[in-house]
Amino acid sequence: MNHGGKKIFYSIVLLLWAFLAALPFLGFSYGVVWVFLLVVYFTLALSYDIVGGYLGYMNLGHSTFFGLGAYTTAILLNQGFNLFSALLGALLLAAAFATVISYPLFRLRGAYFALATFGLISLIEVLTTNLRDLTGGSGGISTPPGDHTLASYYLVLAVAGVTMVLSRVVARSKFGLALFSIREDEEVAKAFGVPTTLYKGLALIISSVPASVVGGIYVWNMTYISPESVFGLEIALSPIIMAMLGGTGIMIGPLVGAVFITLVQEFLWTEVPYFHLAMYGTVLVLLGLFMPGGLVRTRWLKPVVQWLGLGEAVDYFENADAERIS
Amino acid sequence: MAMNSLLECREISKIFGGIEALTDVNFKVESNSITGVIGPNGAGKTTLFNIISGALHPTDGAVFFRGKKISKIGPSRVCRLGVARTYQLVRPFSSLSAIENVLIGLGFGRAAPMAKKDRVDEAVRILRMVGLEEKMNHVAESLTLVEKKHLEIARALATAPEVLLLDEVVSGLNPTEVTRTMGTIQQIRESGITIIMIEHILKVVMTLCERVMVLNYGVQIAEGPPKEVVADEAVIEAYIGRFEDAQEGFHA
Repeated sequence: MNHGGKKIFYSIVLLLWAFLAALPFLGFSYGVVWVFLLVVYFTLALSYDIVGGYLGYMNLGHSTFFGLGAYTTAILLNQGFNLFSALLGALLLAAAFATVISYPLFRLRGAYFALATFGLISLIEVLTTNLRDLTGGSGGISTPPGDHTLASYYLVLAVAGVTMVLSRVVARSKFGLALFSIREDEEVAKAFGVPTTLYKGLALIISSVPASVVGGIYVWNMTYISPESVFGLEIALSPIIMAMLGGTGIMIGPLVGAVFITLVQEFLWTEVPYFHLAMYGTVLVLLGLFMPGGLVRTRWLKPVVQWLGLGEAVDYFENADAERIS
Repeated sequence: MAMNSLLECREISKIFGGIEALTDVNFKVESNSITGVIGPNGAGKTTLFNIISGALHPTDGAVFFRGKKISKIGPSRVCRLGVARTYQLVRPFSSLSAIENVLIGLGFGRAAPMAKKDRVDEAVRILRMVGLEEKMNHVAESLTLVEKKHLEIARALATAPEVLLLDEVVSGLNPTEVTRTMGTIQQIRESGITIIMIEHILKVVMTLCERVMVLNYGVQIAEGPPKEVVADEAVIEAYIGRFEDAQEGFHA
């Protein structure tokens, strides 16, 4: 039943990716910069959603992984490592960090978890500001110069694609099902044998990986970062707003949210020159009030999402013969 | 003899702050039987279930399953050993479909996990047993109360339990649903699963249970075959009070 819809969705995604890949050759140089940032935010939103949406723990400190990844990559690049080993180092450090913090943090729930993770950003920011020899302190850090606009653009597209696949694979796996059950009722999940502590930690580690890699690509593109630029409020909250307004817990949600928010921002920026931030805030409040489940769960979009085979309930009978169902 | 009982509670006490929810509760459950736990509200019935299933640790005493102590090993391990439960106030995984709820039990609640390809078939078989086959792709949230209760039974059955703890699965249902649910419980028992059930509807307890245990203020006041237990004076007093008390109240 869903086969037609699914094929259409994959075709749309492939076409979109093909279009984005062709963008630099179509002469939109501003578009390339714009899309680069959009995809960075999208990847952050999508990886945030593994903990924030699937597991139901609001991780306000998700950008810590981004910042850690960015700084590690910058430092390793300055030490003469090539980009891929630098990114690998960033990934491993972020994953190790996620492992270490998962145990104490996941003893908290709800608002306490959200606040504790939010505090994590400041913690790492203070560290980077004060470890002057390593990070350049508040003055920031520069990487070996060079124009990597195009290469980083393709790299971030690839990472976003892999993250989409990862998010999809997790959602359709037994592990993903366990994450959903923890979101719904952790105590009952535990009573039915779900290894909650282990799985919560794994979810955090998995979600830290794309964020740290994207952070590395970001610094490679920008060639300069400061504590404020990677540990700021903008980078901390925007991806979360995107995921929540698009719809958490479904892969398509962060995608819709990221595109929508960026378009709204861009529109307000140019059309409402002095009040764009106020307008942006108003739009967010209105969306939160009237679309609590996110854009993809609204009356108009939900049927489309379901038809495309991207809904929440997994159809277990794709290949089943009719006999088994009846 | 002690080794023959499948599940045994030895001198279980549970104290919450200053309140003694359970005091020295002792009972044994034989294999392939249905045991009823009755008592007025607040008697400690659900607390007892929480202790057997490992969600709470007893303050004193211990629970033994097949002669092995299962208190203080945590609910996950108790579940894998073969003791599954349902909840009085239903707690299905709301946003997951019925079949996914069952798949959680199948995938995580068993000592020996089932091969991936067989899991869906087994989940459908279990849902058919409780009459939820038609609704398997429906989100749990959208089910009616009776369907949610049946879904909880299905999720518990999915863990291949030897002992099934049913916490008021019949209460709150209409007469037709009660009859159907009783049929399901019989069927589960016939498949070789031992059942302990908390229930308020005496008709159900009298029909289904071989033995009944009565709790009042955390104290076990009677235990035995249902016919004897309902004739027991302490039980009648716990439920409707003493005759003399009523007379005194009348004169005052």
